[in-house]
Amino acid sequence: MKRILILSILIISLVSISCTREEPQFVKNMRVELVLPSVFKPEVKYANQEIVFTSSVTTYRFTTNSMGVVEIPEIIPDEYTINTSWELTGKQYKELISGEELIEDKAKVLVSSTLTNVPVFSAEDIRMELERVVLKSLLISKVYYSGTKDNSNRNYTADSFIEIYNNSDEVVYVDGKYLAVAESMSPVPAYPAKDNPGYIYARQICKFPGNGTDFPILPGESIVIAARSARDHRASASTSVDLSNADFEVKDSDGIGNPDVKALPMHSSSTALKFLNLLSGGSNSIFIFETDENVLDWPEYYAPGKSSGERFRRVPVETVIDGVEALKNSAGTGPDITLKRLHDIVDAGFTTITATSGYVNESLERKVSRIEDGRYILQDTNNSIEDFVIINGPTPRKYDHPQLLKIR
Amino acid sequence: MKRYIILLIISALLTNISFAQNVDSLRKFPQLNQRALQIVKQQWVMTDNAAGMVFQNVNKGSYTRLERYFSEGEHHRVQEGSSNKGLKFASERYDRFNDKIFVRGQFSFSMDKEYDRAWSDVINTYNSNPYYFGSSVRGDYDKQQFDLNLKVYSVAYKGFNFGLTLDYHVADISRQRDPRTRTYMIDYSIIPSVVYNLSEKSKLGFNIYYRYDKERMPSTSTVQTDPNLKYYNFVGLHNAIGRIGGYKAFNRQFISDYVGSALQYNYIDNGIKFLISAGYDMQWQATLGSKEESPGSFNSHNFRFLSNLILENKSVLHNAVLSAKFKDAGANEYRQTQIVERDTLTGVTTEYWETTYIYKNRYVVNTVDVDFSWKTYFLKSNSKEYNSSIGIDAAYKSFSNIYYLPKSEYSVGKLYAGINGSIFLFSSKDHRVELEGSLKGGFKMDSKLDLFNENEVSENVLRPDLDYHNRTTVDLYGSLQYTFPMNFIKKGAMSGFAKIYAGNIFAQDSMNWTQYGISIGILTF
Repeated sequence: MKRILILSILIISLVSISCTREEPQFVKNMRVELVLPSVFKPEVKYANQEIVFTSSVTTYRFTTNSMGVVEIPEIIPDEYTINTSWELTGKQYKELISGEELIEDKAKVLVSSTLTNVPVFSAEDIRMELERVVLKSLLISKVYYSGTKDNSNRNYTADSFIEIYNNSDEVVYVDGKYLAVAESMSPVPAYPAKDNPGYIYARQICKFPGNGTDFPILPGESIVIAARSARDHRASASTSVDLSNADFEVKDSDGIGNPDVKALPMHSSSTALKFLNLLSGGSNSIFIFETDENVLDWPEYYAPGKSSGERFRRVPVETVIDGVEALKNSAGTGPDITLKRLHDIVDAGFTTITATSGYVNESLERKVSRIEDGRYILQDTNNSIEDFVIINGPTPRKYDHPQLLKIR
Repeated sequence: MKRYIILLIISALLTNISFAQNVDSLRKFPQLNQRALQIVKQQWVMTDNAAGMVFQNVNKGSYTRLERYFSEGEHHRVQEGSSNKGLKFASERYDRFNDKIFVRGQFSFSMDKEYDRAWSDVINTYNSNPYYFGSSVRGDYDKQQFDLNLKVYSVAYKGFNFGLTLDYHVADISRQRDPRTRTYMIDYSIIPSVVYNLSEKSKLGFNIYYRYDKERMPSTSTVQTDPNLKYYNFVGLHNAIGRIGGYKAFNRQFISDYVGSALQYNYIDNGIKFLISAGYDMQWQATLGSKEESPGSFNSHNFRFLSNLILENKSVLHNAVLSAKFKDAGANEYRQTQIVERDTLTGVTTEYWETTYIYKNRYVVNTVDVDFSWKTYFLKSNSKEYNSSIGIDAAYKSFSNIYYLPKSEYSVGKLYAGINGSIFLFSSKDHRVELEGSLKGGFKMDSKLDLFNENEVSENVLRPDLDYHNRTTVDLYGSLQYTFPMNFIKKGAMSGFAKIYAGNIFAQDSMNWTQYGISIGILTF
């Protein structure tokens, strides 16, 4: 009997010990300080602004207090992309800064900051330095590279396109501007942004034709560039798109391909391809830039450690008007942000399609920020995570898709 | 392939028949109910300690059967199929190596097909490792499994009896619809044991326990490419990531080690036998993916308690069994970063995963299984067989799954109670017809599903699963078994039997789960 009693006590003790499992804890009482650029008057604080924490599984939204500080009572430990932005008119901006700047009253100024992959595993305070950006007029508004399945259920990739949108309230001419795709070496980039400050290494660069006023984009209008073929692809793949009325087709010269569509010739390329080679699964780092310099005078480089193969032309970041980082999605792990080719100043985040290798008819499309007098103002926080959504079935030139209209 | 396997089983059956024949001119035929009663009295067979099995003799002989079984209905869990059918061959033999060492061996092989299953491609879906995976598209699963169990035990030597249990299982599960997964499982245990004879009436037993199991899904394949096919990786309750095409290049394995021990005490006197056993084991399970990426690890503490009381006189045998199992388990979730390093001189790229943070016990599982049964056998005049039996049984089963940060909880407790009995409708010297039946009710005691948010997994898996547990059930079962002498076998003596059975679980909301089957087999000396 005594033995049984001892045995019972032993078992109960073991059960008690094992049942006291340590629970995972929130990170508590964390503080995020947001610091405005030094041009702002000292008494101006980043007050009552939203700051968004996004991890792979959850999103938190906090509001700064009157001192421009966020007090976070508790948050799930994780790696977060922390993003905030404040949009001002030029007039408002000029009232808040110490000195004077040549900015039109109706111009738009974005004060923003994004920190990517910030480990929030303990209650260490975070300091975010905000940057000031004058909103660009031209934006990459749609990128469709996933391709789809044709009517025989084969992979179909000839329908890729890019759309550029005039987000300003003035006419903008694309004449002489450039559309480029950064190098896309796999499995690791030849020139990742984190290791190459100041430059993007382009695989292909197309130059828009025109003498300065030949190809206008009206406010709230866009141009569609067929990356491979400007035709009605729905004949071959019912889920595809009609690009027969595209504005440009990437090809050598007018008259070939779709003769009704203007040629967007390849200006510089690391390959012999005559079309814009968007990869169906990604990564595709796309950007538009403008320069008075002769691009062909800019140096070209082989991938590090190589002396043959593709050579990538080095583009200074300060020439870039807009860029979108579309990373490859990986099974099990999702996109790897360390593979970014575009610097945070161009695209502080990234976007991706859900599929790991494409052919799913998914298009990356920029959200609508607001509608002014019937004109769509697209969202541009300089962060594709926030700015883009995945649309199943691309819709060239259309911005009324319900997913795009989930206005912030 | 199936034909060859059936032929193989029949060959094995015939081999077993001829091998097991005993040259016995008395033509006395073995009886199933006599063997069943001997096994009821062999209390130690319910423990991991093989050494104690020597205290109750079970006649040397083989019990071999071939069974075809079916089940179907609407009352099933979401991550289980809506119908099953299968074929099973099983054989069990008690024998002796010599006059000091005895052995009991079991072998079984089963092939079954589970229809319309979804949301899980693993063998252990519930109350175990949360990092499982599956497709929302329902498909059929083929399963084949081999089970081997060997218990060796000795007579006393200087007051000690020694024993050893070897347990071995292998299984192969393949999904017959895109994405086509194939899962392999191996599971084996080694359990050395000893019993010390404190006195003629008192025995003290001890065994240690090691178990290894591995479940591996190397890759998936597809016949047709559905561009919108999602594949889900779960991390606990409804927390899952579904990616289009996520099955591509997906692979995963679960590798477990278990270590444990158990203590037993047995009291044997005239007309009374009492056995009590308490055991504990701990499991460590690693979860590995491509390039040794790991979503997390799993561990469990498992407690087992058993008491078995037998009261016997010449006309009646009472057997009361109380067993309880408790599981306290947790999963540590990992946050990992892929590190890619390239040697710029050689161009060789090295990739590996680095764990940046561990969420300790982010997913916690607790289960309680308590079973009680009391069965009375009304014995024949020889006290070796029974004429009829009657029993009651009751059980309480509960589980709790909690996912932290943010907290979600799913828990259910159910109580079962029922009666059972058997009677020989016909009994001549060697021809017997036995009718068995049981009636059991299942009642929800408590249930809770508090989720931090709702998503497609909660909507399609957890909510319907809660409905399953909330239903009150009535389980009716019956079987009819005919045992006969196999006189046409001139050498040796063996009995044959044929059994049919059917049962139905009547659940609320007009839901049912029906099972039925037939088995044939032989019993030899």
